Amino acid sequence: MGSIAGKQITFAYGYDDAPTLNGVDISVKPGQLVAILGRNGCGKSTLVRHFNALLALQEGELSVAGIDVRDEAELWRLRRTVGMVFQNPDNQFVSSLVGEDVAFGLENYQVPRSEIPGKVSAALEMVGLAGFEERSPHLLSGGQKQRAALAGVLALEPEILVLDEATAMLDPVGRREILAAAMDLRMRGTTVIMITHIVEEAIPADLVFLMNEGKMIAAGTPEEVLTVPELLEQAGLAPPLPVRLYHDLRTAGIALEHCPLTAEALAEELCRLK
Amino acid sequence: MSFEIKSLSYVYQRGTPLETPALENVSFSIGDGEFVGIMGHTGCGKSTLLHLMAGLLPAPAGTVLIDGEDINRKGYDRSVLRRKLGVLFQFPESQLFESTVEKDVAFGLKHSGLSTKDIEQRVQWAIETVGLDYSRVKGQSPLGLSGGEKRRAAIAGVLAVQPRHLILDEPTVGLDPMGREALLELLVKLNRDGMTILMVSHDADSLGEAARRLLVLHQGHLAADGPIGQVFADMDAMADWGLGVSQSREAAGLLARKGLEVPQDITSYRQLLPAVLTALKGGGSP
Amino acid sequence: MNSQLTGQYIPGTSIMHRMDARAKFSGFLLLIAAVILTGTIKGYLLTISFILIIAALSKLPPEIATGSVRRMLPFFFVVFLLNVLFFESETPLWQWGIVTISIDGIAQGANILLRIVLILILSNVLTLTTPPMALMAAIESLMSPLRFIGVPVGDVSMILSVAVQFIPTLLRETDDIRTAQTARGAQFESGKLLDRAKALPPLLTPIFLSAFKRADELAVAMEARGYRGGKHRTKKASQPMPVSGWLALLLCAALCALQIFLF
Repeated sequence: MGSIAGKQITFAYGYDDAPTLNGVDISVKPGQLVAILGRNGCGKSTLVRHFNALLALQEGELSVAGIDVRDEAELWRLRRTVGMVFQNPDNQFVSSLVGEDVAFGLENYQVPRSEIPGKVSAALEMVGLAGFEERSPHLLSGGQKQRAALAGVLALEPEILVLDEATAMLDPVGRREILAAAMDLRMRGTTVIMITHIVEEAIPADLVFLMNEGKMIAAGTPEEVLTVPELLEQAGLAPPLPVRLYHDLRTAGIALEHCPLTAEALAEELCRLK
Repeated sequence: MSFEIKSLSYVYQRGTPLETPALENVSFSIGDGEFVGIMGHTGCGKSTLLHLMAGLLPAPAGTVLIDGEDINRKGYDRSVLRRKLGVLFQFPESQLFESTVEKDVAFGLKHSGLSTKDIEQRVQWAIETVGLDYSRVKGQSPLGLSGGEKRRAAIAGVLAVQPRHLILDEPTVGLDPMGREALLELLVKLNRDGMTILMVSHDADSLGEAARRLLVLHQGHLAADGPIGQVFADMDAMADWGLGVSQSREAAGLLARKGLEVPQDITSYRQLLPAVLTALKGGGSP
Repeated sequence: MNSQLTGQYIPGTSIMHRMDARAKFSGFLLLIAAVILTGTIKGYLLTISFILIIAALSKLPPEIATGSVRRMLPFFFVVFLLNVLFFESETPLWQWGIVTISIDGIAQGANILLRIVLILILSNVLTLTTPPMALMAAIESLMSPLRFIGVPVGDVSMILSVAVQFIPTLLRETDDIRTAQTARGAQFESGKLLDRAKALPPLLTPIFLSAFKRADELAVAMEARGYRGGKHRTKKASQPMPVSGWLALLLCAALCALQIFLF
């Protein structure tokens, strides 16, 4: 099932280049919603491109859904198991029709022609785009484009879904649409890996990995990682607003019982104080 | 007045089956040195408005005055407009094309009539203003810069002509928190030095920190125009227009609902923290 | 951002929209042949009415079906003038140096003009009523015999499909970059040829860079989705051509035959 176990992953793009990944460990259990956080250029995208062997493992160990990523005989099974949605919604489509595009992955795995239309419409329905088969991707909104791209990946029923900054170029509405789709998939038992530099997006995750300059500098629950401003600042990120307020109030002599992650929890905490 | 927009209307793809009104009878004016945000749901006509205000689309109905002059008047010198109005589009790094950063930043000064020495000074000023190391980057290819640096170089190219007014379209998209912070600091500084700034954005947090006035466009109409605190105060109306407010404003709303006396025209963290402190102390703990 | 793209598919339910794309494309080729074979006034009457009926059946607004024709009017005028002035005739009406005006020349000019206009209208109707993908699939299916001489038809059609899919994105991007550079003071409209040539790098360099970046990202996305060449894919379903398609082809072929044998 959709587990990930990586040890001491090290990777450099060129022989003379400084390593983009430097001894990274990562461990994910099946069905978890995982956020990998870090600023631009910290190596998070490079790391996830190892999960489906888009990048070949240079050093270390990595097994994804029980498949050793170095095993070339298993390459296509690995790629089918790990679905990936990328950042730019415009650069993922192969067809001028949404339905044909969603079918692309199925055709690559030689799914019989007769099964394709059913799988395509089921995948589109799952992302809330039922009946969009005849639409043209370039006439959709950003959020709709990303959901169509997601449907193309989901049609293959992957065990692991990687969202590689899939919300970075979207407006707030599109961002919410993609996050909702990710939550929905987690409910269905898919392992979801979200790559982001938006700290708030990591709050609903089961597990947060924090990266900086090719290293994993923290791993744990959102409560363990996101409530420590020093850690986040070390990674070039800012803590969520409630965390910031919690620490600033503390400095001003007002101590809340728990450090809240959401605005709702913050309101609760402040009320208890009153 | 920097901008005076009078009953501006625009129809998209006129005369085709895809004809849709993009703007209907929009009027407002912006004074010198203001920092104004524009928000609106995708497809509300923001982009069209921005193109019309920058003289990049002819206005078929209504007028656009910049510094009191009708920019669509016959015989109006567009090159003057280009020097006093800077426009930074979404993902501006995609417009970089010269072999070195220095040349790219100087592009807008080509027809300025300035001496080589003056141009060099302007370029150095612009590159340093956006926080890049002039001696390091000037001879470098813009393609060799990191993502955040590319955006800065592109901004330097717009600033080099020293425009009096600056229009920005979604300048924070794709930047990480530090890049965003640095950009906002730069904009606030430029504004303090007298530049009129008009920023179109979905990023309510950034607008809440930097803008003082907010315009809301909804389905081609000007739906709201006022101090940003006032516009954000009506969260229901914002939600009706498909828009969010800043996290600080949202938090203030939640706190008020729980009985904490926090003012509702808060837009930024800078305002939220003292307000919460006052509420906690003044609210009278037992 | 303000002009309708020439030849961009407009959804609809007319007879032309619903016709089998393979029939439409082959019929289009036959009709081009018919236009070229047409030579007499009677022949033109037949061909023109045939094409006008097709255009009417497409239910496209006339100004859109003839869009590219009107845009090219100055070009037509030049073509017509060149034919009228320089057609070598044995019975000139008026002659001055190499300039010769004759009935033959005027007829020749009108002839060429008419052909270009008719072919433009035909191709407008074809591309405006056929989704690009359906057109690609039609071309692929017509090319499929080439498989037997070793042409990788599947890969070729994949490349075509991806390219067609990218056109709207690249056009929009070209527009965006042109606007952005205009805002920085670039002058794309200034008159002199040399100035125009100088204005090109700020436009072309970013477009090429972006196109390469897009192609690169798309290649990674395709690989991640399991693409490893046309051979390893589900076979295209080949449906037999419907009767209506054969009928349309028969009519087009008949027009060709009439032009050859009757007129």
